[in-house]
Amino acid sequence: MDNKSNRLRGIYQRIGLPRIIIFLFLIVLCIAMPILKLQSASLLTQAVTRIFMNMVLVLAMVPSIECGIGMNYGLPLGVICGLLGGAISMELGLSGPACFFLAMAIGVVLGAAVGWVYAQLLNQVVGQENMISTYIGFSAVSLMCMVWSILPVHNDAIRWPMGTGLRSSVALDKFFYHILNDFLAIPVTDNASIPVGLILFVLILCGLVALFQRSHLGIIMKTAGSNPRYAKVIGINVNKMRCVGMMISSALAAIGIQVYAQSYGFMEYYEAPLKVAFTAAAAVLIGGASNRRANVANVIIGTILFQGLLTIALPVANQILPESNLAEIVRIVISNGIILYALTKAGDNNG
Amino acid sequence: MGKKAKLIISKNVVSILFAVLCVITFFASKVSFSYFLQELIIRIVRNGILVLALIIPAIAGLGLNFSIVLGAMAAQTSLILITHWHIGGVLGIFVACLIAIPLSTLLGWLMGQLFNRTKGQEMITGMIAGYFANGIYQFIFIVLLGSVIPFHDTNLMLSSGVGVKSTIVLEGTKSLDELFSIRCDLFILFIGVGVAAVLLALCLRNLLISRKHPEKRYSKEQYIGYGIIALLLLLIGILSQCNAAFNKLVNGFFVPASTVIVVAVFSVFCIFITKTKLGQDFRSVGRDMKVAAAAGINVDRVRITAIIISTVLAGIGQVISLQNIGSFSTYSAHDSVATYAIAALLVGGATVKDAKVRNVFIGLTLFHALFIAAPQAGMQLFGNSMYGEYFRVFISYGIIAMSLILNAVQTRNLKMRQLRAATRL
Repeated sequence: MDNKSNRLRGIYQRIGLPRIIIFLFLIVLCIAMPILKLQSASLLTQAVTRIFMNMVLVLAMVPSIECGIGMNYGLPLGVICGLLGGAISMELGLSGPACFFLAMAIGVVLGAAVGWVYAQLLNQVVGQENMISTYIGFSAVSLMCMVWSILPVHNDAIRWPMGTGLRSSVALDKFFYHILNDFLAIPVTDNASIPVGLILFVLILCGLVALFQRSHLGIIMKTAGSNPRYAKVIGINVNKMRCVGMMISSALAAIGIQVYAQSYGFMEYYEAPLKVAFTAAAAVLIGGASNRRANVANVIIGTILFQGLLTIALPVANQILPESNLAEIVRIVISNGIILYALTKAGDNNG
Repeated sequence: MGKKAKLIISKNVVSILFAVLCVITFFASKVSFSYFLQELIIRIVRNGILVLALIIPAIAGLGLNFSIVLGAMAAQTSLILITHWHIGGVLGIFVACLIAIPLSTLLGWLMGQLFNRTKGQEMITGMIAGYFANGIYQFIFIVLLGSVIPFHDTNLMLSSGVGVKSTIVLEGTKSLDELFSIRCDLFILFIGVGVAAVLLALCLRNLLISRKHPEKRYSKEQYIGYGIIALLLLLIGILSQCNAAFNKLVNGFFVPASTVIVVAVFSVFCIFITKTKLGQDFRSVGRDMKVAAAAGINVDRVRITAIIISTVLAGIGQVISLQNIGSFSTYSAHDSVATYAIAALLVGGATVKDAKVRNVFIGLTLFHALFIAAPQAGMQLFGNSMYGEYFRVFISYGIIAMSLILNAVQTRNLKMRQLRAATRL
């Protein structure tokens, strides 16, 4: 009997209270859907789309946690590289897959470069990465606000209709709107379909990250992250591994924002990337990761729970309380609540 | 002497750079001096207490207290209540403070509990807790108020009867400010006399104390600093009384002297508290928690006290700040409170681990001087007034990032030095 309750408690502790709450909340919402006479089919496909369009940004957290830096709150840096890649590619007048893949290539290269520089800085401030990366991300976003507003672009589709500088949100209809979503898509209802191309692309990226984690370099990186002193003794260059982790993380963020944008339909510049890191961090934490340990399964479970919840919560909330942005409030409370919970847990481990 | 000057410059490099930037932006913006001065004085008074709220947590080793946002929310809650009860005037402000104090004490106590569970990560915890509290605040005022919590007020609530309107206009606009105001030229003269009096008092104190406790004497630089400020203010004050053209530059508006007195009282409170036994405890906890605990200090309780004081000050500060503006947006007035207060404090030469009252006022002066002129300068230089706003945000975030990095590097170097010294033994 004791043994059984112990095992139950073990399972409970492994899953954690916040995940149980969120899971139950999600189930309640799913039950509420037919009761409130909402279109379940189109809502669920929307949920699937939203889950997979956000997943790459969440995936970017894995290498940075693995290499010992912790949550990459500087995610906006990588996102900005992706946005810049998109701007360059669109400014050149490309469209379709060429535009998308050139944007991605530029984004990845820039992201990796920025990640390297950024990691050099973070190597000087070991132990304080959380706060510093947050504020480096914030500063980068606000610096780029100034850059976007004076960027000499000539393509009318991406420039402000009057004056100079980039638009705050560029419609992608002429460029690469739904380029992944519509690939091999399976129509469900008139205006909703399962985006098979998007799912495949994202799962391939997840698979690549999982493969990397099992590779020689991945294992070295994990050792450097989880036990830096031991790693140093056995001859691992810990700082270099942190660099590698950060480069991969920033490059993934650059890809992530493009995957997001092609599904969302707009490239959003200026203040848009400011808080992208917190949503991603919340998702990976909900999936069961901690500040020291994360894998691809955490990413997939976390994004499904978090984004699924948000997508389904929105119409349900609108049914219950129209005109209030209850769904947005739920997002703020859940995402920041889970980060706070993780911070208190990290304190327990250290103490 | 050269070495000393170098030390002073390197210690205050941020403030000096900022001062240079202020001068350049001021001339580029082409705003008139009297407008500039008026705005500057009003903004310093408006934000004074909010920045003062950051001093004690910094001394107590909690870093920059991002959770002053919670105090601001408590203040807004109490302002909504006094608007609902139609308590206007100074009495309204007083009642608002009375309501804000217990509310922010409670919130501060909660934050203290949280910080004690996340030692070493207080700043990120404070920031995320601010966002989290923002969600709860919105939930209460958009969803619960009027539906679960009975509340009827056609002026305050949305037409559906649930949720507070997004803008609240206060009845007691500037009531504290207008209680007692004084012409600006006279104000400058009085402040000059005041600083000179403080200087004299310090000199006397030094004379009396110098034989018994030479270590308690203030340094020469402090006297020079106070002396220069006193001289400048007196000079401007006297000149403005004698010369009509000069008078025009600094005259033309009234300074809210009553609010200035309130801010001064809280400044003295902050100085006073650091000299008490409690202040000593703050310092020892801030220096080393383990040593403090070994010396018999209840570390957790001291930290909670620090956060409670800070949150209460922030609550009062936000009440005073919003009565000056006269209206506030219910759901976003608290958003940038912490960022701008912290940036101002850091510009004034404070660090993550140490802040003084003078950092508050130097910082407020420089920070706001830059941002009164920045939008105009942006308009003149780039033909885009948003540019100044972006610049302001960038500078605020950038200065916080830089200070955090400097602090982390210094801490690391100190640790390495200690380690090296230990291995040498």
